[in-house]
Amino acid sequence: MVLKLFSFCLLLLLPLYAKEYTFATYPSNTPSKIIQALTPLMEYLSAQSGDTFKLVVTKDYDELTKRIEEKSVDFAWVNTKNFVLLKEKIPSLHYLVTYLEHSKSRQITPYYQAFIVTMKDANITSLEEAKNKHFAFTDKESTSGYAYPMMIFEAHHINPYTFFQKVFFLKKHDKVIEALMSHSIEIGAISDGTYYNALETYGDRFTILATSEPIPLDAIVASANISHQESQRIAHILETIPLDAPSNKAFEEHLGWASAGFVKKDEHFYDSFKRTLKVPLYETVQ
Amino acid sequence: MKLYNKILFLTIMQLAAILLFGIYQIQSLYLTQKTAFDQKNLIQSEMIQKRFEEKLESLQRTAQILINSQEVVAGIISNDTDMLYNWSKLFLSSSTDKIHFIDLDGTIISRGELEFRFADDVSKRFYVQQALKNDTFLGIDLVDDKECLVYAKRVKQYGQKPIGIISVALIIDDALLASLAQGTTMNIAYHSEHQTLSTTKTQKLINASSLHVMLQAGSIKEASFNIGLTSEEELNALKEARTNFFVGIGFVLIILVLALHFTLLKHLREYKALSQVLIDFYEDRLDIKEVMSTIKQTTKERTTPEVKKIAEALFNMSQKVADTQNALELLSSTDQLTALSNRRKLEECLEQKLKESTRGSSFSIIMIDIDRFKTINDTYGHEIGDHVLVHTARLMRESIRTSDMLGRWGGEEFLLILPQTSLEGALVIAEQMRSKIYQFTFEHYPQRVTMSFGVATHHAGDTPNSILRRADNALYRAKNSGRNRIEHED
Repeated sequence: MVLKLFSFCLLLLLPLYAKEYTFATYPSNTPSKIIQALTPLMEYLSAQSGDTFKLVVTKDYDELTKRIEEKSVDFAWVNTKNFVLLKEKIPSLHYLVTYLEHSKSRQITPYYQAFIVTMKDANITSLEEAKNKHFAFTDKESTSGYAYPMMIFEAHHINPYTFFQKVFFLKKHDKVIEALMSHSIEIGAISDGTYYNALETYGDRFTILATSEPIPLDAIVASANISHQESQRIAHILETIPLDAPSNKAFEEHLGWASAGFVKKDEHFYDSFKRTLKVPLYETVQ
Repeated sequence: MKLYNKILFLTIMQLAAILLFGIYQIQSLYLTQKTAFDQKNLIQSEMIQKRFEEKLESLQRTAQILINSQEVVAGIISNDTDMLYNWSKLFLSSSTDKIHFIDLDGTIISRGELEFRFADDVSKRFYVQQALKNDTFLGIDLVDDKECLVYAKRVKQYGQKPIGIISVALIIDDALLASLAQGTTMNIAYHSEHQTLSTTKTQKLINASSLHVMLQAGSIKEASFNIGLTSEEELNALKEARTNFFVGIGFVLIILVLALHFTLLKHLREYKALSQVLIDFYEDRLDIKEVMSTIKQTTKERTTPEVKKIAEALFNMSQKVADTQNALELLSSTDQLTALSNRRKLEECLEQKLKESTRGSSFSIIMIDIDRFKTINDTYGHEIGDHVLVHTARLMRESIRTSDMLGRWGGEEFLLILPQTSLEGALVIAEQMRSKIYQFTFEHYPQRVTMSFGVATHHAGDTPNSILRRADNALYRAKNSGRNRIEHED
């Protein structure tokens, strides 16, 4: 009886302790779509935590970084590079979870990969055979289209700007595939998702010459003003999102992401990305 | 010179003068139009020339804009194919078909017109070599296997360090030629060692001239643009109009001359016919009655009022002449006293009857003489003698037929010619006359008057004298036999 009475009192007092959190994200798509995609997640978090999660879409990465630093946001969805840079800058930043995705290889993974591919009819079977060929990255800002492929070349002790006859930048992964199909280039760096899409579109006409280390997906972090316990509580709630949750469907519907929830990884999971930042910066014009 | 010739000559002269004036006017108009035509062609040629120059300027302008872009420079340095493509596709237009960014090795970094075709080697291309060597190239060369107007320029970083080339090209095709010649009547043709293009199916251009463009010699041999006309339709139409006018004027002239000729002939023929009637009358080919008949016919025909009036006047004049002639004829053939035919008339009549007798027409004559007429004159005077003659003649005239001819042969002697009359018939008529005279009582002569008759009938081979002699012999016998009687030839 006493226990029941205590529980009842606790229930009555709970709203008095309910908190209001700000959840910020970067504009990876049009703000309206992002809001539509993330609102179910906010509702899920609010329902599960008993707190209120308010969504904020910042103007850009810089604003998001600044607000995390200023602690004007409590939680944030950041991409891999931002997480690495933020963590270096704010060691007290709490890592919560990593985004999970149904990959094109029909696996649920918190990462994706970069491939160095060529056309089968080019008769190139290894990176070494690709010397003096035409090569294309996507963009120097691209993780899978430049940073991780550069790590692959570093591992093979290859300076692509001297190894290949010409190196081009095609901005998008799909364009690398089209350039390969047009035989303008013989080799290109693309994401695994682009590769599997090309397989579906053009069939088995490509050879993977090299595969990068796993590239961690986006992370959810908590600013320093959130306690470790609270961040772990929220991380747990995120980890337990069911596959058929409305939030996953909303991601699929509004952003085209094959979301599979979140998983809590070790912070070292992102160390490979840290190394990309230290890859030698070669000049394009020799 | 005949009236016809005069009128025809003068009229032809006038028409010829009008024709010459017309020819002069048309020729002047033709020359004016031809000058305008040539002027128009000149303006159109200059317009095409200007358009061509604008195309070249557009190529150079486009290249210069891209070269001035720091992003483009950075894109060339970093082989940023996508960024260069995005820049260049904005500048593709009807005046710019191809924009290529080429590095110093002659490798294409990006093509504005083909996003995924790049990285091929064009270092051997003439325009690339020229741009690398001389900084710029403006001319005709093969770009991606198509003959193009090409402007290639070396791109320099900070305006100093060469980093690549930009080539802007316009394909030389039918569309380009059509755009140059659009809105003009001119045609333009492009000829090179590889191809011949023309805005017209008929390759031959009239009055063709080359476009004067400052193009560098390229790898394409014998490349040239020519402008001209495929046909001088307008000028030919003008020439045709001029010819048609000349032919028309000539035709009208011939028609007018022919019309004048026939009109003159028609009118002059009527005048000539009238004058010919008068000439025929004058030269005795027509008598006055035939003249009248002919003129009468003319007045009835469809003719001009003038000719009709002249014909009527001539007819009236002929009528008067005929009346006068008849009166004279009557006067010359009539005896004044007795109003009978005189001897001349009788002789004519006798001649006529003898001619008719050759065709089987027989006749008889009666020679009549008043008995003792000298006594009448001597006794009662010539006035009474004339009285007897007049009444005797009247009585005799009353006794004869209309076909008979009675005349005074001389003095108191008469001759009666009886056509279609036998001797017996003549004797009957003579007796009737003798009796009638004998029984007649003269007003101023108290005694009986008798007459003697000598009758003769026509015989084959008779002459006037022979038949008259027989009648006269018969009369002589009647006189000798006691007078107041009738005797006939034996």
